[in-house]
Amino acid sequence: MEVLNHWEYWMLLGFMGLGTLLMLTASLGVLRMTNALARMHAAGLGSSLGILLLLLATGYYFQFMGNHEKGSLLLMVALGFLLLVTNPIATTAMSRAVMRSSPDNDRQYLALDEYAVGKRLTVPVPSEPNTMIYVDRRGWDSSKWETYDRDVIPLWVADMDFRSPDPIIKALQVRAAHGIFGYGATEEAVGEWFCTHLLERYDWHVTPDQLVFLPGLVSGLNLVVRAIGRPGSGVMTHEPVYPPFLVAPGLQDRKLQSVPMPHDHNGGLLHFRLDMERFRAVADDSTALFLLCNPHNPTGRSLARHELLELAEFCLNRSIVICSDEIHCDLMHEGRRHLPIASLEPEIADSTITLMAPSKTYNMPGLGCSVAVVPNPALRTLVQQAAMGIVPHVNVMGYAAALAAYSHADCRTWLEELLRTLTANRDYMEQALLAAFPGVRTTRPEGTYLSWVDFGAVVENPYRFFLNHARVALSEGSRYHTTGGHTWARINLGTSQSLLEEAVARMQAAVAQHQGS
Amino acid sequence: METVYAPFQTGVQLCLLIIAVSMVLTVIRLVRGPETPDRTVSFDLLAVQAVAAVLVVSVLLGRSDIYDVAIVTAVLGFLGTVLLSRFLEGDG
Repeated sequence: MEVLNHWEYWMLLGFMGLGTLLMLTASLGVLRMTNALARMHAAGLGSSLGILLLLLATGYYFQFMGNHEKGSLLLMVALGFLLLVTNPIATTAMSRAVMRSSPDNDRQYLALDEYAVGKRLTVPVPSEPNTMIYVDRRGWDSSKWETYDRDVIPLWVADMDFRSPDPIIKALQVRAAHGIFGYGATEEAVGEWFCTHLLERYDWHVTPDQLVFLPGLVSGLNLVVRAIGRPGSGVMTHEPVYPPFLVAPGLQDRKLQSVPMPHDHNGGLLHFRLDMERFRAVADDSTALFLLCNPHNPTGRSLARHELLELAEFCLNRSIVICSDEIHCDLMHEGRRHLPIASLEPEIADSTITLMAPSKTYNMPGLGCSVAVVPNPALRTLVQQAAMGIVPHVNVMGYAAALAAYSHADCRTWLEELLRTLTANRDYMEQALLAAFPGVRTTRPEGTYLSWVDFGAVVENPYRFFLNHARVALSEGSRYHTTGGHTWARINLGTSQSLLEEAVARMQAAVAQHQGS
Repeated sequence: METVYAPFQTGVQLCLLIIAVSMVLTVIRLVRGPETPDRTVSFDLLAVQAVAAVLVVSVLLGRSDIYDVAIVTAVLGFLGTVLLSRFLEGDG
């Protein structure tokens, strides 16, 4: 009868101990990992290795203890074989099942480390989104969320964190399933539906042949600047304004004639307007184009009929072509109706190029589909010639999404819901800013989901200060001006209210610490 | 029945305890889910841990004939997992 030595006992114990500990790690993995695939990985590896070690130890033990029956070693080998074959098969079957039945955000599995345990996530994931569906965009291809560090709350570039309406998503899925992504034709249906949209919403009669589809608003802006006038011509605009307005004239060899927008304030609330006197003073014989932004980015102003008429009269008298960026036209608060400047009078329409897009409204700027409305055939030819060979067509996915956006009634219902959410966010931010930062002044946007805030009473450069000390990324005020503007910042309200609350809390804490020190 | 080195006996008992704790943890995940795939994964792990427990018990008792139990457990666990997975796939 063979009996084991002490060291053999300790060796066996070591094997068994290690095996059981691996079982424990497998269980901990299954319990602590955050999704089924990660859990499966832990369970599969831990249990396979663990059972292997246990089998080795027990096999050795019974072989040399001498009390094994003839068949037991065979059984042992059979068991080992069984486990080592079945475990991988079971794991494969499970992973297939998990991949097929997991929720549609499959890509989160590509960034497992970001999702493990939750400790590394310092920006909270809102648990109670507004009525809109908030989507966690981290780890996706988002400029807004990937530009700054992971702990920064991004309230800068103007897109929203809300899921687009279902008909658009469905249309893209159907288009993708077609499987052919060859050269697209301009879809007439998109133009027809877009014209119906303009008629229904703005009482503006436009025909599909007056539309020029473009892959983006900024390229459209540059295109118009290039198309109108000649090198050295004056391009007039108002500031603060969306930065490409100030950059485009220089890029296209034109002369920028920018006029500041004066503002009144009532308590902490700002109201911007156009300065017609200054426009008249600054305009000269070279002025060929007026770049208008309405609803205005970043102040959220929606210009009233009399303001638009006065501006149009000024431009028509001097034969200045108007280029009106109305990309935020559908995003109006409290049932206010947007007035396209070209819809006011036929003569105005005749010298106006209006830029619009479904991108802000339905949160799809990444699909690159915009449209220029150019009723005047001569102007339209100029724009088309300037685009020729340089500006690509709208891509097939952009058309598919735009068609769904304008043709589905569900999208309009979605938009109503979105507007309620945005108005609530706007009101929240106004109250929170005025309560948290005495002396700070903010706009109450009539349209857009952007707040334009003067933090001058609190910090000198809010963009840099809040980015460094509060880890909140706002849009830098100086970029909206030709000179100065450092005390201003633009805040993007198109996200969940709880994220806005967190941002304000962080900003308030940073200012308190700054003033305390 | 010859005597077994006492510390070894204690060590093996400790192993059994650890496996028991692991199984409890796995059961927590089994109950919590939240989705069927999570439950399938924890069920599969539980089956393997049951086999491990049988192995440890066999050493503790000095009886190799309970291997039959381990084999049956392993086969049943495997079949269960594969069947559940097939079901889930069809579902998805």
